[in-house]
Amino acid sequence: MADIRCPMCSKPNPEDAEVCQYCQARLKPLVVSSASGPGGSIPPKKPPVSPAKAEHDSALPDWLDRIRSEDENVTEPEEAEAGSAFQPEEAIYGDDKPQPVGKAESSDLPDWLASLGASGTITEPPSEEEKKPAELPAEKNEDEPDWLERIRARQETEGNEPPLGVFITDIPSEPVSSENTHLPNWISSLPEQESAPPPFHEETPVQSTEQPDWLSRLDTGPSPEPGVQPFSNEPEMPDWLSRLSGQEAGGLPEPTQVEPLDARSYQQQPGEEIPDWLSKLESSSAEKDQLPALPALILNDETEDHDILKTEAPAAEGTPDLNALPDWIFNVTAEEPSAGGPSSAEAESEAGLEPAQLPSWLEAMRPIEAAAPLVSSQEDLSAAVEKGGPLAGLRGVLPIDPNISRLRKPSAYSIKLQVPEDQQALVKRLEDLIATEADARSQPRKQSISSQSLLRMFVAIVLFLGILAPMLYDRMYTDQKLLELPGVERITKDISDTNFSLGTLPVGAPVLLAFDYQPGVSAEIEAASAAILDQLISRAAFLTMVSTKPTGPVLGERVLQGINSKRASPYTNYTNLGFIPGGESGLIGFAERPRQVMPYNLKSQEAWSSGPPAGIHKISDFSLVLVFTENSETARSWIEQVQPFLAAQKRPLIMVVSAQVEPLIRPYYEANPKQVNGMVAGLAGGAAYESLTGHPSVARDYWDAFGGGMMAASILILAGMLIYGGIGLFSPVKRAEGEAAK
Amino acid sequence: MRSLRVLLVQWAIILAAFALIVGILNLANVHLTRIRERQVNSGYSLILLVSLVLTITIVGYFRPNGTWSLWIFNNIQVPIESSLVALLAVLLLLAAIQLLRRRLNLFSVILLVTALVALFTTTPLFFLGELPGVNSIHQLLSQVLAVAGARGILLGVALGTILTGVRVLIGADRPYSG
Repeated sequence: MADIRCPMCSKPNPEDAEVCQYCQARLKPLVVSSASGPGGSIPPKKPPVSPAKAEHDSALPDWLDRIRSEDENVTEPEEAEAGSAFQPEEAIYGDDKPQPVGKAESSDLPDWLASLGASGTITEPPSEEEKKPAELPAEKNEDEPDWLERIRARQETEGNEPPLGVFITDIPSEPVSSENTHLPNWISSLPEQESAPPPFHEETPVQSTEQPDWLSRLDTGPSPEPGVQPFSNEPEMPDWLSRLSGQEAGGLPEPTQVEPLDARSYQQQPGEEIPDWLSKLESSSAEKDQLPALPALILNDETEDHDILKTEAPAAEGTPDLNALPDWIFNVTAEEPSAGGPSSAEAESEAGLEPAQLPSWLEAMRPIEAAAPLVSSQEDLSAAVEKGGPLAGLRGVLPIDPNISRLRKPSAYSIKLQVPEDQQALVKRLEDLIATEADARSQPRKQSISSQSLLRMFVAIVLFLGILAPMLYDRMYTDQKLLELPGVERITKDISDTNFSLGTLPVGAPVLLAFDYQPGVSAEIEAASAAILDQLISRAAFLTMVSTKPTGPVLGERVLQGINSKRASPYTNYTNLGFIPGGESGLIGFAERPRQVMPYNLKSQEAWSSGPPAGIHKISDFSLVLVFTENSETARSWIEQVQPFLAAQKRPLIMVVSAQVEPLIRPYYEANPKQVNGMVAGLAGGAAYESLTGHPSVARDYWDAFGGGMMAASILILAGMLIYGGIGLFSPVKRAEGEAAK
Repeated sequence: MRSLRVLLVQWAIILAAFALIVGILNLANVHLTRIRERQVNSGYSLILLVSLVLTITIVGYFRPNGTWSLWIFNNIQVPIESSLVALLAVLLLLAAIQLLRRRLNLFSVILLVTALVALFTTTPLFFLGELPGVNSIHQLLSQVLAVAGARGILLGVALGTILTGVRVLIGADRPYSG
């Protein structure tokens, strides 16, 4: 029959006991959960044992297996009493998690262990791995090592030593329940606020109005030895803890002053054999010594999640049974935090390491502070003691603000890269290239007189002579023209068609003149159109001038001015409408509605109000449209946009163009039906037209000079062909280059 | 639809007229900037602006067919542009002379021979008059061969225009959408 273990003192009590016969804590909850049934004696459901666990259990020694079986008998009813609010541990962690192992019954414990347990030690059941060494002495009292016996003897001689585990943790050995029914009366009587776990269990005094016996025994225990450093952090108690103590001073007893076991006094005897598990612990402890000292309360960080703690088994915390720990562990844990510097073992281990061979590029990239830190961690830790607030007295819990802590001048980083020589050479070459790029490159000195310039001057002189010589010869010697105008055989059909269209115009007929050429070719166009304009004026045609180029209207005025200069009375039967903007759009707009597009002339007068223009409403009302242009695109625009309106009324469209445009316009003239009814091309066409009409004009004046220039140009080209062609044909170098090119 | 087309055409004409004005103002602004920033050869910009202002002032005051307006045109603009065309003639002649020096091949020879024939047949030769058969050669060059080439060019232009229009219609080209 299993007894009920006291949740506070962990001592067995009879099953029917309401309170602990040792500490007077309530053993049965005041409110029994529904899951426990009326009697609260629902047989605990034994969790299934996994094969791994079974195998593990089989490997345990007999004494440990017996302890575990007894412990399970004790803990399982308690878990069942926890009600449905708590799931069994297997449901949370699975079967892999080691089962919590409670303590063996006190009757089965050896005397030395029972005495330790009676001293008020509150420990957590160790984990599976840690439990093995911890329970060895509990099983075999006779086989326990000598050092443990000496510890017990020392404890017996010194009375009830302070609990060993208080300064480690105060987590109860039994699973913590969220309900107060598991707590003793003196804890249950505490206010609700105080029932919550304090932030730091080690330093929070356990206060109760009803102090249990076991706690009273602790109070009456002997004072700690002078040489033993007490665990209590009384001198370093933070303010918040002091205030808390002061508030509860009235109802709660003074915190128990516990004293750790003076384990440091133990000296290993020569020839004494240290068990393996102790060696492992010692080695792990040595590793801990090498680490920077941490505050003693750091373990409480693990208990922040109180809900988890309440549901977890104590063994999950992994706190070993301190009754079974050797004394050197206490020395480690009871020591004040070291200075934080590296321990001797760490220094030795570092001294044995060879420095790493870093490549040069990596050393160049490494920050200076990273290579040689200027501020040691010791300084940081010493300056990290909190002075106020809930963290007062704690060290290293808050990071130091780097902006505040680093008051020194920031170290200067070297910005100079360690560049190899070959790369420096490349950089220098690039810099030279960039520097020379901005400099003005000196141009090679040109020869004052080169062969090309001589050739250009020679060509110009020959052309001038070819143009001026016939003019001078005519004036000086013959007073006659050297060259005859083109004969009848030179007069082509386009010229004769033009003459026919002009000759059939009625007197005073409205004629539209489009001056769409550039001033640069005005000499050629004016020479070609002079005879035509003379013929129109002779027939008293009303001339309406327009242009799709900004300079066109002035060119028209220039042409009329030239004609009037040869006449006794100026010809005024014309109007100049000016510039038609919009290119082809303006042209088609003018063809459809000339009055709307060009309502005024250059004199800002109504162009269509009086005279012959009064009867013109569309472009086909003109008797003839005459276009002067040197641009094939402009000629095409007139042909494509305006000629359809003229063709509907069978109005002729005559083109006076330069010689270079003739091949592009002639297809429109030779089309069937004709899109251009007549054409005069270039100075030669004008000369032919003058020859046809029998009225010499400007073309006749230009004809001799034109012929002279053409003759000179022909001779120069022929000379160039002979010279350079002969050099190219008979030069071996040129021949080799030509063959290579092929 | 015809009235709508005429309306749209009139709008286009107005826009084109304003575009010309905007172009003139932009030209003046560009050269004003060059003068203000004292850029290289900003003196030419100054000459341009002065000429622009003077021409606008004189033509606007005396009208385009006024005496001073025609004087500016006949004595400044026409000679300058005619000189440029004459310079083009000289450069073309120089290039023709040196053509065989640069590139001596059959096509260069054909080009030069054709140019010589056209020059010789355009005008009668001094002291020789019309050579027999020259006129027929001239007409063969100017009215057959040249027109054949010109028609090929015009047909190519027409086909290109149609293709461009089709590409714009089907969305292959978006010349105005960027």
